[in-house]
Parts: sequence; structure tokens; C-alpha cells
Amino acid sequence: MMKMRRYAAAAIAIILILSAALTGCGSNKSVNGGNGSVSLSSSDNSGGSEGSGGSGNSSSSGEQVSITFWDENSGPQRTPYYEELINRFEAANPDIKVDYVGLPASSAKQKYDVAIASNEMPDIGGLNQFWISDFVAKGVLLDLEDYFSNWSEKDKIAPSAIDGSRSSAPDGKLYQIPNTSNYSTLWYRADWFEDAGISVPQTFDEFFATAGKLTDSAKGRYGYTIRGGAGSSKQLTEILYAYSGITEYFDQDGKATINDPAHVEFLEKYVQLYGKNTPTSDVTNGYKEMVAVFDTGIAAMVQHNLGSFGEHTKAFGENATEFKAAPLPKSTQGYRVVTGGDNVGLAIFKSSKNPEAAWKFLTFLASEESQNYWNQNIGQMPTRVDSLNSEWVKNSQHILALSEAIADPTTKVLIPPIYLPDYSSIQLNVLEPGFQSVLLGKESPEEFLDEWAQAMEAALAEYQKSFK
Amino acid sequence: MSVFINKKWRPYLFIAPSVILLVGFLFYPIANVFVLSLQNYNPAKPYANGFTGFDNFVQIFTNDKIFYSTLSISLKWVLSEVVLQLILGLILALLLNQTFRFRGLARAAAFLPWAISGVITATMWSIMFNEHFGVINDLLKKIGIISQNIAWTASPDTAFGSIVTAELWRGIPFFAITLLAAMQNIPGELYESCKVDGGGRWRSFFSITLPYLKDTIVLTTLLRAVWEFNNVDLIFTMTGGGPANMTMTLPMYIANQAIKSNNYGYGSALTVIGVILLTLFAALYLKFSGFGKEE
Repeated sequence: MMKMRRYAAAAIAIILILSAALTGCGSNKSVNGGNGSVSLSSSDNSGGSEGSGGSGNSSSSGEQVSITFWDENSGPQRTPYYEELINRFEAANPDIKVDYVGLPASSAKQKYDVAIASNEMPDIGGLNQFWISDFVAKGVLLDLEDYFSNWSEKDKIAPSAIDGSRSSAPDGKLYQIPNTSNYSTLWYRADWFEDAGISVPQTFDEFFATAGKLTDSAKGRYGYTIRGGAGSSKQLTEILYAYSGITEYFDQDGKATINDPAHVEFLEKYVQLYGKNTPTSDVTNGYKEMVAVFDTGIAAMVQHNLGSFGEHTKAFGENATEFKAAPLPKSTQGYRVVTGGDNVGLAIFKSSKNPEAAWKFLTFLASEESQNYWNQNIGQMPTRVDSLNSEWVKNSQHILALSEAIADPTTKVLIPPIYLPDYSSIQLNVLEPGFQSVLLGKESPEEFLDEWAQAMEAALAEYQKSFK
Repeated sequence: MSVFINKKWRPYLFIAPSVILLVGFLFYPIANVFVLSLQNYNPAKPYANGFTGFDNFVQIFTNDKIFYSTLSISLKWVLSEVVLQLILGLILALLLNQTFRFRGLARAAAFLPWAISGVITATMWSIMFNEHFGVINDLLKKIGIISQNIAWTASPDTAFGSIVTAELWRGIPFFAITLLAAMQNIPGELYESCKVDGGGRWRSFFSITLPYLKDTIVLTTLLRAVWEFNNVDLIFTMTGGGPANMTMTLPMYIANQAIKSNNYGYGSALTVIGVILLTLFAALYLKFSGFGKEE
């Protein structure tokens, strides 16, 4: 009897352990299978749109079609504007219902990859220009050339943006209509700069000097803030190439340029800022924490992109003139390098059963009114010629400052290989902890950049092999 | 329909619902993890997927830069959590076992942290530990212990201690509750006779309280060790395994591999290693602690 009890107790304990150890994985899998999280958010949102759709018009045409729309960069400063646009669209088109699904920017590419692998793609989705080549190679996007040539407003979209989209596809066809542009930005405290009598850094020497000058640890103020936590490597890539002036991520032999001596030189100087001209907690800061450091008056400068405009505007409120935007400083070669290809647009998936409805929604989002509404609120650059000339753009310091730098004929463009299936996994598992080690002085910048180069070269080789 | 009335089959019919649930929701997913661990499975790279035998395990043991460090951090984490939670939980239980005014209220308050969701606990402590506006820096500065703000969860010296502290706050009540319940089952006469025989407080604690609590302590420490080993929510929210993998426990690493990077095969292989380690640990722990043996 006693023995029985002992075995029973041991057996129960072991079952508990097994279930505790394994259910964690099992349940997570379903959440991240691409569809788990998706159905969650779509049911959240369909409730809202159903309500408004019903109030719009229930007596009109008989059959209602519904299309699924994936937002590749959702968040509290962006999603509400899409919801408003969808409400407007549904009110004007009562026979089409749009199911909005918001994906966080950091995992959007992966969700798409999983959806493609399991053939569960949306009808229409937000698509980074970087992803076009990969998605076209996988054969999942609808060719939009015919739709586009029959569209009455086709001339309104900036030809350069359309060309950029076409040239991103291996076959040179149009698969994505760009709707907004985003660029790496140096946000800075205009009021602090003015008090200190200094102007925005034009070169990296000035940048490092400014970070030093504006640091006042007695006041708890720092000249700069580095994103060291989640998502750090995107910004790091942008600033490394902005410094070196290199414009190719891989050379012809598939060798990565990320461990170029110029990048090592920059990173050595950059790391010196950490802890001295930046807060110590920067090493673990993700997007939210980084933005908070700037928005609460702790740091004078932060490198991000136009996308954080909404957060700054909300935080500064009435004092919105205290923050301004500038392009990253010029490279050591004398010209600017912007990380380009960051046009985000809309694409329709071949698997869609209602491509006509999806196209209707696409053209609605690409209309002058929608583009103005969307870009003004998220703080990014429209792609329509008429929107670029609208009144709000003329009053937007951040858009004017950046567009001037981009229009400069000497400015060059870098396109990182975001199409690599391993890109985000490398960012997460190699680059983020590696950069933290460098900031904490546990690894040299050179070692880290070599590791980075190796990981990217291996990923490129594997990806190229998959097409043979 | 006779099969349902047949006396021989009836018991199986009654246990069928739970068996089906167990198989469907426990055994199948577990078996699936073992199967996945032998595969290269990443939904984003369909061209590379397939059966790979023990490749994942070979990679883990010979070529994974941080696997061994995640093991040692997991061990450090489990040990410090279980030992500190047990000691502090025991002290709390002994205090709450005394008779005093508002005892009910004090007990309820002491158990409150246990009822709070892990993500909320983690967020709350993250805010308290914040370098710029955290209450801990503020207090320490006012008392005069520090002059410069400390980045508690970001500095290599304090990151691990910070998450241990936050988890302690959440874990102590569990020990306090279970130990207090066990204490209430100890017959009062024993303490009386101990007193009559001239035994003091320490004597009665070591000769009566502790032996009576032994089985509870063995079971709770075992359960807690398993839970703490598998703990992800708090570390995920507070440090995400950083800075530079210094708080990267094995389950955090699994989450990063399988969930964030889509490497389900590799993540499953890591999980299988975790399960084997935990099962061994549990079996040895139960054997050497003499759990369930009557004196």
C-alpha cells in the first residue's frame, strides 16, 4: 500500500512535469502558426467593422463579399487610421466587407512566409518593397499591370515610386502599388540645440561632437540614445552604411560588406557613446523604450525613421515644435546613403477569390484623400504627386527635411537583403545579442561584424541554392 | 447497443472522455514535439524542410554557441528561486500561523502576488526598476545609498538579480500558502508535550514542524523547480534574455528559436532535451528525498 502510494505520487509528478514542459511548446505553436494570432485579431476587428457596415446601408445590393486585409505594421499609432479608412470604404461600398488583421512590424514577414507555406494568404496586404522579389519568386502575387493601366488615376502615383516597385520584381512587372515612403531619420530636440547654439550635424564628426556637447548627466540628460534591444540591427545597418558610403550589401561573389573596415571604424566610435552620452539602460531598449527616452526629455537625439512621428507628436503635444527631423549625416565619402526600398505599398494575392473587390479597396487606399489622411497621420511621405504637393506636406518639417536629402542627386541608396528567409532570425539570434555584447564591451566590434557577415553570407548561399 | 450495456465495457465507456481528451491534448502534442525534433522544420523555408535524424541534437551539443550557457543560467535561476522562495515562504508561513489581530487580512494580503498575472508582475517590476523614473532608484537616491541612477535590468551586474527579485515576489506566496496549510494539520498536542518536556521554540520547530512539513516541502520544491525551469513570461517581458544573453534561460531560448524565428524543429529538439533533464531531475529528487516514506 505504502509502495503504491509512492509510485503513484512519483507518476503524478512526472506527468505534471511532462505536461508543463511540453504544453508550453504545443500551445505556442498554435498561436504562432500564422493563423492563430490572425484569427484572434480579425475577430476583434470584424466586430467593429460589422457594426459600422450595418449602420451604413443594409438594404443595398444582395450579396456581400468580404476580403481580408493584412496590415504589415500595426500599432496604436497606426491601426486606428486604417480602421477609419476601412469604415469610410465600407460606407461607400456596402457590398464589400474588409476584415482587418494587424501584424506587428517585427514579425510581419514571418507571418506572411508561414501563410504562403500553408496557402492561407489574405486577399490584399501591406507589402514592404523589400519583400516583392521574394514573394514574386514564390509566385504568390497577382500581376497588377492590367489593373494599373486601366486605372484612371495611374498618372497620379509618382513614376519613380512605380518604377521602384517594378524593378524590385525579378520579371520587372508591377505587383505592388506603393502608398507611403519611409526613411531613416535623425530626430532631435530643436530647443536644446538652440539653447546650446549648435546646428544639426551634417557629418559624423559633428554628430559625435554633438552627442558629447548635449550630454549633461547632472540634469539626467544625454546627447543620444542607442536602440540596443529588440529590433536594434535595422537602425544599426542604416547608420553603418550611412557612415561608410557603401551601397552594396553583398559584392558580386556573395561576400557581405558589413564587416568592411569603415564599418568597424564607425562601430568602435559609436560604442564609445554608450553609457557616456547615452543612458545605460539603452542596451536593452526596444522601440517603445527608445521612443520614451527621447519623448520624455532624456536624450537630445535618436535615430529612427519617419514612422515614429506619431509617437513624438502625441508625447510632445502642444510643444510639437521642440522636436525636429533631419536626415542622417553625410558619409565619409561626402555623399549621403539612405537605406531605400522602404516604400510600403499594397499587393493582391493570387489566391484571392475576390481580386476585383481587393483592387477596389486598393485604389480607395491609394486615392488622394486616403493617402493624405494616412500619411499625414503616420507622419510618412505620400507617393502621389498631388499629395506630395498638398498643404500639409508644405507644413511638415520632417517630410520636407527628408525629401530634400533624397532629392539631392548625389544621394545614394542601399537595399538590405530583407528577402532572405533567415534575415529576421539572424537579426534576433545573432545581431541583437551580439550588438549588446559589443555595447557591454564583451566582444569587439570587429568580431561582431565578422559574425554578422558570415551569417548573412551563409543565408544568401542557402537561399540561392533553393532556386537551383 | 448492447455494447453500451455490456458490463465489461461500461467502465471503459465512462473513462473514454478523459482518455480522449488526454490523448488529444496531451499525448499527441507531446509525441509531435518528439517527431519535430528529428526534422528540419521552418514554415518560411519549405525547400529545406524534412527528416534530418539527429542533426538538430548534434548541432545543439557541438555547434550551438549559447546552449550550455542557457543551461547554466537555467540552473542558477531555478536554484536561487526555489531556495529563496522556500526559506522566505517558510518564514512568512510561520508568521501567519501565529494568532494576531487582522490575521485574515494579513493572510489575504500576503497571498495577493500569487493571484497577479505574470505579465502584469513583470511590467510592474520593469517600471519600478526603470533607470529614469523607477521608484527603486528614487528611493535609494533619497536614502543616500546611490548617487547615480542604476539601469537595473540592463546592467550585466544587476540584470539577473532584478528578475530573481521580481519572481521571488510572485513565488513566495505559493510556498507560504502550502506550508501554512500543512502546518495547520500538525496536532497541537505535540507542541504541548514538547513544552512539558522542556523543549523551546527551536526544538519544537526542528523536531515537530519540519518533519511534519517534509513531504509538503519535497513536493512543493519539486513542482516549483519545474515551474521555474519552464518560466518564460517574466523573463520574456522584463529582459527578453538580454543583455547579451545573460538572462537567456533554456525555455527563453526555445521561445526565440521556435516561436520568434520559426525554427520549430530546432526548438523542439531543445524542448526534448529540457524534458529529459527535468524527468531525470524529478526521478532522482523523489528517490533521494524519500518522498512519501513514512518514518
